[in-house]
Amino acid sequence: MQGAEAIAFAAAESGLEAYFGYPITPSSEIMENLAAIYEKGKYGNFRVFFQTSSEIESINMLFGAGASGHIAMTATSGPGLSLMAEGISYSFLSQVPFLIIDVNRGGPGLGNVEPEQSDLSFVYWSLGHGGTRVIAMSPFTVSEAMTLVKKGFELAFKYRMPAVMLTDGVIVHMYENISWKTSEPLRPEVSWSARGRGNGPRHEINSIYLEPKDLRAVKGDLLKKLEALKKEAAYECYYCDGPLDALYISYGISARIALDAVRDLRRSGIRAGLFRPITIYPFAGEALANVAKMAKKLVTVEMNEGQMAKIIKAETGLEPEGLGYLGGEVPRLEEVMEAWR
Amino acid sequence: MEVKQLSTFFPNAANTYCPGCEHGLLLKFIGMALEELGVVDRAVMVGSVGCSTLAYKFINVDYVQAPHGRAPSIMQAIKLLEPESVVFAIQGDGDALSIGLQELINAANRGIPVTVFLYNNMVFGMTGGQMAPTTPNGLKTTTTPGGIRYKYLGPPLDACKILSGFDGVKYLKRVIITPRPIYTKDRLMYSSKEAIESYRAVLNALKTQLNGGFSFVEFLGTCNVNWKMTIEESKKYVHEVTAKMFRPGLCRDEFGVEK
Amino acid sequence: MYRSVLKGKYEVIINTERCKGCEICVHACPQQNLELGDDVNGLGYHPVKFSFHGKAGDCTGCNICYWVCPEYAILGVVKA
Repeated sequence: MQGAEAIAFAAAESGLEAYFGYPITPSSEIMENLAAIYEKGKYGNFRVFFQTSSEIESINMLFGAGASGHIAMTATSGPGLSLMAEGISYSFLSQVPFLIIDVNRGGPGLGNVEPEQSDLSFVYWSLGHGGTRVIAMSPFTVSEAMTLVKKGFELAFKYRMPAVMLTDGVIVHMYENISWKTSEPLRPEVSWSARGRGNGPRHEINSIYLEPKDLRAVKGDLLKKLEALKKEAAYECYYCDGPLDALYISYGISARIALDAVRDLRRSGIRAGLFRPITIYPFAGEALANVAKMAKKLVTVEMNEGQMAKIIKAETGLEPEGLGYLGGEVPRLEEVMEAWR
Repeated sequence: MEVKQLSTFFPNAANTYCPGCEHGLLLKFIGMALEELGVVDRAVMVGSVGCSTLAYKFINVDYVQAPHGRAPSIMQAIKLLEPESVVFAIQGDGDALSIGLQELINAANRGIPVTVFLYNNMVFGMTGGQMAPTTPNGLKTTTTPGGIRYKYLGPPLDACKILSGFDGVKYLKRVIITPRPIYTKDRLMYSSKEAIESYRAVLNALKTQLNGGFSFVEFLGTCNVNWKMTIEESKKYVHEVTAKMFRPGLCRDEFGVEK
Repeated sequence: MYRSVLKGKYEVIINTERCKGCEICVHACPQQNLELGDDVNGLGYHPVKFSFHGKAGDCTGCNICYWVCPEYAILGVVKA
């Protein structure tokens, strides 16, 4: 199955209720596939498919859908994500859950439509003003992208905050065998949602707190929530069970190439390992620090100017050597293999 | 004898508008109309940014705070997913016609049954009286201190003129919400006709939504603090200047709810 | 809430804690039954108060004050 098709399928299977989107290369295929699923009408939960007038409208419609307690999603790329930052910031403080699939393209500006991983810093550090944080995940196979769609919905509703799946044109456009177990669609608990107060007290989805003490209290709660979120940090480690000559750290499509490099290096007797964060935020810093103790050298492989390396420094204090590929270039196996020295 | 209070407002909260501001009046009419239609329990208010935001402490229905100018988008999403809900927003003229015009006209074109109440006081009130797209010549603002709209800004924007071009709009009306000052021999009086008409407009707009149509009502109001006028002067200004520029009246009533 | 002790045909019920003293009702009342009081409410305004015998005549229960009050401070006009 193609990545885009698989992501669309997984979203519908997971109980997606509304999709709001604006076409942007290279994410449009996800939207097209969802449109096809919507027209077939096989999924009763999937009630709204909406092509909006801009990414700004997309994010606000997501906000509305999330605020009324519905599972909603959009897919976009870097330029769209920039436009969405405002709405994401509001959603973070208002505690509104939804999922954004960011199909990373070459940036900044219009850049190009080749795969890059350059939205990482933006998504990790603050996707919006005022200290916005979002759950960020990065799959490295089509199958994993599918599970992360479902996990994204789960985490977003569990912690009531926006979630972003960082992927790129390679994963979204490649064909791969998938495995998917059909299960019951998600039914998150949404007693907080604003859809008419009924007979009970009213619900307020609000991001205005005019008194400093009110805002401080709410932000304190949010920080506690982010602290609790840390236990959801997910990662995978390959060949990390002994002393290592080099530990590669990579995620997304770069991690596939890094994994190939590690396997090739192992075959020629070099003890190489791979640490692959699945969730970028929360970041599995502790796990990485533990593995890194066994390694002589740390190398990050990514398709940007070394954004992951900076995140690792902030999270663990380690300073890995960075291997960065810019402008839509995919890491070259030989170069990655050479980097262990 | 005790008076029955509106369940749409918190009994002990005061709204936080300036004295004499008709924002409070509009909010009161919305509360009254929701009660009259019996839809308080399924009403969702979407707050926009500007002085209209301040409603959140006062009104006792479900509330979603939108980013600046984006209330129509949020309303449409809620309405699509919760067709039973009654969704409305109070937007200011800066919110709806400046930053949020794209959202507004797209919503009008689609005609998803939601209601926008536009409170037009011809300035950005909350940020301190800057020029809005609706500011007329002669009104001094902090960004047009001479009181003259710069030529390249074009004439003041007419919301009803824009929206009358969209078939999706099923109820379109402009009313004056400001009580008209009447000068008798010995004293000043205020008429209540405008208030009652405004209430009817609110009621009819919500009825149109319940009948499945997009409704939009523009209220001509004051911002005496930022116009640097007394309450009385500002009310006079609306009737003498604003109402001449933005003609009040019914533009469209497809479902015949006015009758 | 302000209650007049005098007896009359109608009574205006006022939530004095909401009143901001904008005087719109004072001017709007055809019988001049409303005036600003001397006391100060929690918001720091002189709230409006009601007298049964205004400058021009008794309250007729016309409800105009209710309609024009922007604060929902005038909760209604009821028969006394």
